[in-house]
Amino acid sequence: MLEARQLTKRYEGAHAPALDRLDLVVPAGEVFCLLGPNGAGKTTTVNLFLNFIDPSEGQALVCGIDSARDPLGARAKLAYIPESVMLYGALTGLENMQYFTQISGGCAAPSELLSLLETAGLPPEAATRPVRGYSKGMRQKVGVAIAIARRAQALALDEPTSGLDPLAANEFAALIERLRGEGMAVLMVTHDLFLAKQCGTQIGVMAAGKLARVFDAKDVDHQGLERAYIDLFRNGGGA
Amino acid sequence: MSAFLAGLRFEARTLARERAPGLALLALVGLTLFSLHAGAVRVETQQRLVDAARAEEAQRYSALKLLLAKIDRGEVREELPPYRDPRNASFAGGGLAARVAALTPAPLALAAFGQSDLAPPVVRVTSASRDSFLFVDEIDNPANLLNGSTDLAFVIVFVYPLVILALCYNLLSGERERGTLAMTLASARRPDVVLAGKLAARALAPIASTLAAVTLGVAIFAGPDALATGGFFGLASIILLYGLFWVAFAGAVDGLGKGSSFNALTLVSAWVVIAILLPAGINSLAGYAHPSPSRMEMTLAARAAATDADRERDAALARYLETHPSEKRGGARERSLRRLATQEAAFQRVESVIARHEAQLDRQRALTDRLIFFSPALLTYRALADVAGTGEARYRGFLDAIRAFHLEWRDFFVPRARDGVPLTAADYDAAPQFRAESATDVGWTHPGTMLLGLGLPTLMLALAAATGYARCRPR
Amino acid sequence: MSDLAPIPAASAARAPGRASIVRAIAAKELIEMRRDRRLFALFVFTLVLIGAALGFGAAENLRLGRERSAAAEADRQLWIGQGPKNPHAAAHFGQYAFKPVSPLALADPGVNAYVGSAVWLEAHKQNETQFRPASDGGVAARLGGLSLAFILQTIAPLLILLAGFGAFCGERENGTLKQVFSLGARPDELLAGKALALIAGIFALFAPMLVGLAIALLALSDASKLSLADQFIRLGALALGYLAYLLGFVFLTLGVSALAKNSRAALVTLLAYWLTNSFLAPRLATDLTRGLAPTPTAQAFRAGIATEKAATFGHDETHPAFLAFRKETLAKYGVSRIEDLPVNFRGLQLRKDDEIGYAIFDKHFGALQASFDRQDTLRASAGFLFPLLAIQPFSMAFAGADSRAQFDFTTAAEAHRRDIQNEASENIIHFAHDEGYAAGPDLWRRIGAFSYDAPTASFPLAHSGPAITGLTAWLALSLSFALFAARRQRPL
Repeated sequence: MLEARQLTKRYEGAHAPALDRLDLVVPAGEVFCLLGPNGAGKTTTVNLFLNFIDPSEGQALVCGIDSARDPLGARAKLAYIPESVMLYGALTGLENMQYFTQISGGCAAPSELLSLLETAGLPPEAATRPVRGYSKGMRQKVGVAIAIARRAQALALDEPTSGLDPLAANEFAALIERLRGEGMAVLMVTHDLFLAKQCGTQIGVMAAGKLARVFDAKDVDHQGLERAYIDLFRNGGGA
Repeated sequence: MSAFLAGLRFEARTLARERAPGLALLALVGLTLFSLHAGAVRVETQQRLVDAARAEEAQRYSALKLLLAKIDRGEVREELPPYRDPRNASFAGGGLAARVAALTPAPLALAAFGQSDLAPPVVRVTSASRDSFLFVDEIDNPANLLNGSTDLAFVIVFVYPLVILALCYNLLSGERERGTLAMTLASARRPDVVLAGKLAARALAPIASTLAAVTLGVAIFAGPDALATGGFFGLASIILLYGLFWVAFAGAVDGLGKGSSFNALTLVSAWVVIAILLPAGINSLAGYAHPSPSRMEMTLAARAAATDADRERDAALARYLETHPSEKRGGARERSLRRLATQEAAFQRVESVIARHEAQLDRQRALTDRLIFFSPALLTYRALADVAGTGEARYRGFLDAIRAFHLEWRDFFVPRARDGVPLTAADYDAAPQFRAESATDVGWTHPGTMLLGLGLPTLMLALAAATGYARCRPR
Repeated sequence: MSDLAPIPAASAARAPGRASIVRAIAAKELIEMRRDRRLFALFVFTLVLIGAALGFGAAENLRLGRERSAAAEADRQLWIGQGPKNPHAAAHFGQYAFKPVSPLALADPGVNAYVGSAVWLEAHKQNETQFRPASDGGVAARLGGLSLAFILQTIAPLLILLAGFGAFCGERENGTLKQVFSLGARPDELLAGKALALIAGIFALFAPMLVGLAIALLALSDASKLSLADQFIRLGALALGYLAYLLGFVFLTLGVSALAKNSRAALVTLLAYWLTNSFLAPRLATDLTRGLAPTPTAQAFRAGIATEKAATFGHDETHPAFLAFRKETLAKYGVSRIEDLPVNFRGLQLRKDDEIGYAIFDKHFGALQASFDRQDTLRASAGFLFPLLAIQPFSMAFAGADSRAQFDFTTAAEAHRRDIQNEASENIIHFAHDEGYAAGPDLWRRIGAFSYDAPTASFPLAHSGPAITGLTAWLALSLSFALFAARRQRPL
């Protein structure tokens, strides 16, 4: 499970904190979607959970491990898919997959990895071609396959579907749903209200470093969410 | 033209506001001045060697003449051994009265050490064969000779192009990557002229600051007079031409339209190949195809001549002693004659060996002269040494002058020694003097080579750069 | 996505070993390097250069070896061919000593172009070596030739930094570093893996070079004249030295790559350092050592010897020291006239004069070498910062091509000169009964030719203290820097 306690990040030279005393809990088997305009602090939150940056105050806990104190321990329990999964262009999808599983401490036969890639939606004939020629959707699929292979207890996603075509985005949502079903705690940053409604169990809207509102996905439909989001920012509730 | 000037002015302003180019230029100027200072120290040392040798010669001559006067006045009681007797032409011409042949540093000697740390600036010419005095080396730590010094030639050939490349490598590619190239292409009527103006600003900065530093340094360390010489004009032209070569190279690579990192790696590789690997390869190849001669052959020839002459002299002496039983075998006359005989035998053989060696070295040089066109760096390095008067041309002129003087010297002493005529103070005053300066004028010996080897590729590269600039696309 | 079957269980067993992670990283880096066509071309080009350098070096060694042994043979014939004459006259004619070529000089010719290879062993006088090959080479030759040492010292570090400058910052720019870190890889493991890959690259260059050198050593060295085992020990030491030198560059490259803002900054920083190390530092060191620990000029050196030699009598029978020696000798034998001495006085006089001379030469030539040593120590003392200043003397020393090896040769040649002088004087003392005494070919034959036994590998080792310290410090510093930089870096 993922938990933020009074999590704060101030960047040097910025007048307001990028993240302001955020409290947030994502239990196992839940998908928490973070919505919000650019600069609201969504990506900062994910980076803090991974300890890519140090918090100014507060804690980001992954399964109870403070990621600032023990970044390696925290990362061991948290898989990550960035907005754009970047791979080594000279290596094939399978070689990339092998490399990333090995450095995360796992080991798996190529056949297993191939079937994981297939599960993630990457056809086997593509998996043995150099990544240089992949589309963004294909790269994201490799990212998902890597995340699955990790068998981590939590997953952080940073706008994973931006730039994907609707079909690919839909397949992606199904994958997330399946991972949730297996008991993963998922934190997903997105701009896509539809995706948030589709796979989120809770939906939080961030503004100026704060969690302005949290919806339960069961209680709100797509139109309702959109209206609430627009109201929030048009009425000066945020930026 | 106004587009060109606009580009130049704009780029100059941009450069002035960045910190890194300023620092690089400052370092280049500092290194240039330091190298000229080091050169000046070196020249001073050389000059001291020459002065000391001349002082020693003057002192030796006055001592000899003093001794001569004493002998004339009958003040010397004991019999002098022939090798210390100033009257003995064989031994005087062969060493006692050896004449100093010196090569004084040229006005711009501080610009390049060249061969000045290896080739001795002072040679003491005697009537003996040349192998006996031509190869007396100046003392230096061989590790110092191996590594060389920070002279201007080094700074110009190696460091200066790198600063030029650092400033010019990404003119086009940088604009493209920042996205500003599209704006330039969209708004300028002749974008290639604007870009040429920008390149000129980036090229001018290192070239002009280097030329200014060289002018300043030469004025300080060699005196303002050195600026008025033709050599300085040559020096400045070489620096300018070599700089333009690298600017054109950078422009040509940039004009290919690849990214900045491609340009950087390509140009650095080109620098390594042109300035480092080709000179090394050319040297190795020339040394392999026409190895330097084994100078030991010369010594061995002289030694063989000595034993042969000895043997002949023994036979001659034996015949002589049969008829003149009263003559002493180890007498001064016999020793002088023996020495003369040895010397003459060695002279002939050594001259022929040296001639053979020179021919061999000429073949090596000819090969280097052909191969040198592949490396503008090597060409420039050689030209700088020539202008400084520390290159091969001037040393070979010096050696030629020594050969001529050696003959003159022998013509004076050998007949007197053969006749056994005692030398007088008048002979000492009349002994030949070495006047080498006319034979060893400093000159830029290869301006044609330089234009062909450096100017031609520069033109071709500039043409390629212009084509590339005219054809450039925003992405 | 139609298939919603259970996700296959990959990586169920977490491999415990960090070694396997490091291996995985190294393997991936190697694949990337191998598939980078430009890098591969560069690598192949370097291999070609190595081949060429080996060829040039071997040819040069062969030629010099032939030339010198032929010269030594010719000189021997001249010595033996002397007619009957006074042994001291023969000593004046003297012999020549030629320096044999060290087999490993084919890899590093060191200072060989800048020192003479022949020395005249004549009476009364220790001569300096003659005929520096560089004097005949012209200005262009001063930029150096293509040797293995040059490639290892200059080109190999460039190859390493071109292969490694993007190791961290390149991945940061691509965004892969973020993912790698998110997977829990430790900075140390990343560093170790990337270093391992670069080291593998070095070995790929080293292996053919060492094999080539070993073959050249076996083919070219005359096992009857020197110990092959010793040559291989020297080769091993050279390999270790260059490994330390290049390993330092691996760590420096990775450290700079981890700290740099972007790959362009890393490349510029590393190139500037490489340039300084390869070209600027050695030259500045020359200027600095010349200023701080000057060596005497040839004229001052020769004048110093001449002044002290003036205190000895040589052939001057009016010299006060001569008179004193004559008195002492007469007293020793209890006679009053030279004619009454049981031995030849002229021989005694020569022997005495030589003995005084030996001490003078030892002092001055020793002091000259000491002044070179001071400069060399000074130069090597900056080796931890600019490792070329440490590897160059180390390499020359083990290749038998430094000024110390030269000094060992000249010392041995001088010892042989003294043997010649002593034998000639002894012969005069005991056999010369009148002024016309002449010895013959029997004596010339008995006085041997110079033969030089190059010292074993312990000799360069004993004189490489500053260089070894410099190399060790360089390796330790660069490793600490790389660890510090790798741990400090962030993936964003």
